[in-house]
Amino acid sequence: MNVAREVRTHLLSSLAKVGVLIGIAALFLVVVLPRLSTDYGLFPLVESRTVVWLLMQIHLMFAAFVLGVPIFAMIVEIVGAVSGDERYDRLAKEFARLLALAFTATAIFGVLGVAALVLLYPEFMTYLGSIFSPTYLPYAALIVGDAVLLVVYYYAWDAMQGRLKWIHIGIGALLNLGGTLLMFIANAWATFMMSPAGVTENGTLVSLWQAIDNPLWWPINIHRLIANVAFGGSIAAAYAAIRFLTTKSEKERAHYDWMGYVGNFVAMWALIPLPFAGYYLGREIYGYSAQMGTSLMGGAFSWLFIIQAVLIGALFITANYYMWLGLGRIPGGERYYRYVLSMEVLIFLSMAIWMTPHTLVASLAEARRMGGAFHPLLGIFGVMSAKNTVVNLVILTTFLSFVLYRRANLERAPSRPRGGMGAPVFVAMLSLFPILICGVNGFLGEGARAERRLPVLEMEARDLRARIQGSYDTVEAAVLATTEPMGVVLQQLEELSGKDGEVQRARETPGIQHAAGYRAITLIFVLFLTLAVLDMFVFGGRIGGLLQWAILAAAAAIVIFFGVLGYFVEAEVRIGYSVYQVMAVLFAMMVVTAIDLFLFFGARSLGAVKWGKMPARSQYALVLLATVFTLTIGLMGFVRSGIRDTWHVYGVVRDTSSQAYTPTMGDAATLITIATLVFFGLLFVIFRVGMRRGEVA
Amino acid sequence: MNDAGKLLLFVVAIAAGFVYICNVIPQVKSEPVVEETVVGATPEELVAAGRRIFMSDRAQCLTCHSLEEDPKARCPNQEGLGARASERKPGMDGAAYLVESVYNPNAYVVSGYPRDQMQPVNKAPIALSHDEILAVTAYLNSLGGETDADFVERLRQEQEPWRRGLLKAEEGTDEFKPPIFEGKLEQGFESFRALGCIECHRIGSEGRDIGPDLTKIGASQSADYILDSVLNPSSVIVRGYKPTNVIWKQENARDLLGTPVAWVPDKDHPSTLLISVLEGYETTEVEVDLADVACVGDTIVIVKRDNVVSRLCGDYVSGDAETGATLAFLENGVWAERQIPGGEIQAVRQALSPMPSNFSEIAAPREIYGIVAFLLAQQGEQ
Repeated sequence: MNVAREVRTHLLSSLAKVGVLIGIAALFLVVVLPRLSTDYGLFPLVESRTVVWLLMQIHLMFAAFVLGVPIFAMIVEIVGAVSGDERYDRLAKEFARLLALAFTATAIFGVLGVAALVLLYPEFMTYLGSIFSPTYLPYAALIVGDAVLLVVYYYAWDAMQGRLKWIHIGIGALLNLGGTLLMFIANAWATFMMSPAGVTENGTLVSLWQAIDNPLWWPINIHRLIANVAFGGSIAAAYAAIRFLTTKSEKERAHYDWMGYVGNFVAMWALIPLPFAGYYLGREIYGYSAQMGTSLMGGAFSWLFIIQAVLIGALFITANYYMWLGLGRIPGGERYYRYVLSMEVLIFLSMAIWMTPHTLVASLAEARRMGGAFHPLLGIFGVMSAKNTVVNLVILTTFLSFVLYRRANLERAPSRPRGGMGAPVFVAMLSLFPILICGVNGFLGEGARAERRLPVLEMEARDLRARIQGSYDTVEAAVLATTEPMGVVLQQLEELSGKDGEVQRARETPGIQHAAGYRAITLIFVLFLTLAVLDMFVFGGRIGGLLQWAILAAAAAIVIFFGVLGYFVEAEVRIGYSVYQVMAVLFAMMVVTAIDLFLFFGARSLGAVKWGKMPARSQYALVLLATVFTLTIGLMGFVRSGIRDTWHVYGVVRDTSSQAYTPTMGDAATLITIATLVFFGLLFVIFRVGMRRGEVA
Repeated sequence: MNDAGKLLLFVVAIAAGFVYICNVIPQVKSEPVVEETVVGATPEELVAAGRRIFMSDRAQCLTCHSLEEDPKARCPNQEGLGARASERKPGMDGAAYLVESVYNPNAYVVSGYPRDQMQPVNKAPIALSHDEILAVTAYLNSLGGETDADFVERLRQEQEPWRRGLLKAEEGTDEFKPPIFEGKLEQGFESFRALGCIECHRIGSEGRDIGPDLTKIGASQSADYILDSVLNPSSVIVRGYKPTNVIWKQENARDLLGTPVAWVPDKDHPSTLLISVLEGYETTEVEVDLADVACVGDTIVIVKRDNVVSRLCGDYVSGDAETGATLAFLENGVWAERQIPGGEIQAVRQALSPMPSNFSEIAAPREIYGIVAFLLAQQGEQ
């Protein structure tokens, strides 16, 4: 009864807050906006864009937090329910406690952002409303629904243990589903501004669904979803780190050390696929508009991606460093110290290459000394071939760190016990995904079909040309010598031109240059998967260890081989090589994990992990991770918005305000940093209030 | 200092490091869009304006193109483009190639460079105006070529269909264009006479004025244009030589087809039309009282309304049988534009050139290419 009353009380208060905030937003959109007649409003002292940028950036950081943390909490709760380890359940609840305040902060900044947009950009908001106003109501309804679910999720936590646990997890899943849908709707607005669809050339709506399902909607949905999980994990880890460093209690230190580890674990597993999601997003941006894609990577924002590389480099280096430090608290972890140095060198070198700019802005004198605009040595590392290669190697290395960490206190049983096949078989089956992609592209895809058709077409064109030429050396000589009427000759020439066109189109078919590569990689994958399956079901794990190294080596070899080959082929072909690299890394991660799960089933523990026995610098590493994550979110928000150049809606509604320029990296970084520090400050307040509400049991 | 203070300092230090690094790297700032006002129309002014536009952030040309050899550039080096533009695409002179390349970049992609890299620059997001594009093409030709008044005029001619919205990007990419082969001048000289061209066209002091004067044709037109005119005389009919139909009010009276010589008192408010009608190789001038005509104009539209088929004639403005056609009709002595809906139109018959259209059936390639070579040599020096 007490729980029911508590839920009811908080529900009412939450609904009241949400109602007021939605009411204010609606007031601006429905009442104020139609009464404004100017194109752009003015804000005193500060540029209008800066105001909107700051408010929306902070809103997005909180939004990422309130979307990422519940996913994190749900994952942890499920782990607790499955493993029966109550620590996970307590950890999940501890984070759910922070959500209510963060949810309010998100909504407040969202409403402030809407008000600023309405008052400062009324014409643009009117246009956006003419397209998306039907989505406003579902958006508001989802906010209300999420507020209700959040209250029930947190306040009914203790009451819904035991038999009701999975229902509680179901509420968490609904909460996440609602949050994800909210994000998808907001993403539709943001991506419509980047890649408008469903409207005529002058912007009149033709199809709302097309406007929502615009070319960049899914790439951003996927990218943000994964990034939010990584962000949620990193903030959770940073919270744990702060508590670890400030507590005097050994017991609490052990708890927060463990919490930091779990947060970082989730963050890193989400970080690993993030470059792939980023690659997908980049490719779709390029596919939508080569012009936009080029501005993104090679134009005004090329330096931004160097800064991004610095930040991502810091993330990977720090995360690996944290894991290596973690080996120290695991009995048996010292067995793997010998790998750390080589992994460290590899990651540092890779990151150095990733950070190398493509074009160095050099003075004339410097350029003369260098012998051109590109440094003779470093210039080689500035191109995509090198960058794709090293980022894949870093991901492989980080994965290896995980594998070693997981094994740290385990010793394989002399003879693997029976059973435990579910997990390895499931993970091994996941590797069918890269096999399928490569197989389809190599054997059945458009490129593979064109590859088979090309020799036939070339032969037909050759025959036609020979027929026209007769005994002459060239078509021109034959045509000028013939006594046939021009019309007859033109027909022949048209036929030849058509055939040449077919040959040309076949040669230009997307994927034709890659069909052979995909086939080769498919065969390699199938070979390794077959060996892995044989090891599991026939050899009893005897070749498993060796096979894992062989797969990792093969993946690294594929990554390096195509990275180097990329220097010797045209850009069009080179772009496709990155897919081989990504597929090789994904495949290796899946199959190596499957083998590891198989091999270490029933392994003997060398001792319990000594939670809390971590040096303070490890906790600073966690704080650094969260800070860098947040800065990266701000930086990527800047470029996502910035590549629209001088358009509110790219190619449809031009930004005619005096602020329709792209600021310098320095100015952007200052603003991003202010947003980050404000976010951290508010987050600190939320943590403090959250801590007061109940300490760890 | 306690741990909380150290942590705060740590976070601030990371943020400060981030701001510092972002401030020490080269700072690039784009400017708000300023549409280039293309002042004046002299070739020099156009080239100067075109250069400014080409270099601007807005046009984004330099994001992909270079003006010197750059192996990593995404699009071709434009250095010396004016010298090679006329040879780049078979059957196209420099002006035609440059105009097509900016309005319809995928129509011809230089070997080794990707399709779809460049978008039509008259469309968003670049969205240059037609005048700005004229300036940019004038500038591009000046890189290795000479942009004089004649070349600017050629650019304007090539731009015209794009300005009028008659062409769209990607159109014509699969269309067959006869190749240009090098014919013999002497052969052309003979064929020009043997095939009867000299009966209607004038070259210097020789020939007649039924068709356009070809004395300086080589100075202003490309081989592609000449070949197309020989094979398809109606594809472009020179201004002043476009035949006009006269359909009388009186039933059973024979329609007239001829070239307008004069509208009296003027073209805007005519009451009489003096028309030159061709019979064989002879022309006769006929005076037409416009009060007696049902309609007059270069295009006939067959219309079906309420199951009744009728003919309308007027001067073509735009459109076709599917989408509807807009014609200028002479009504009560005044021209007025009217649109005929696509659903009512059975056929649109635009004016045909009186020049024979069967040269491709009666002449061998060497004769046709000979004529092209001969006409290209007509630079008005006789």
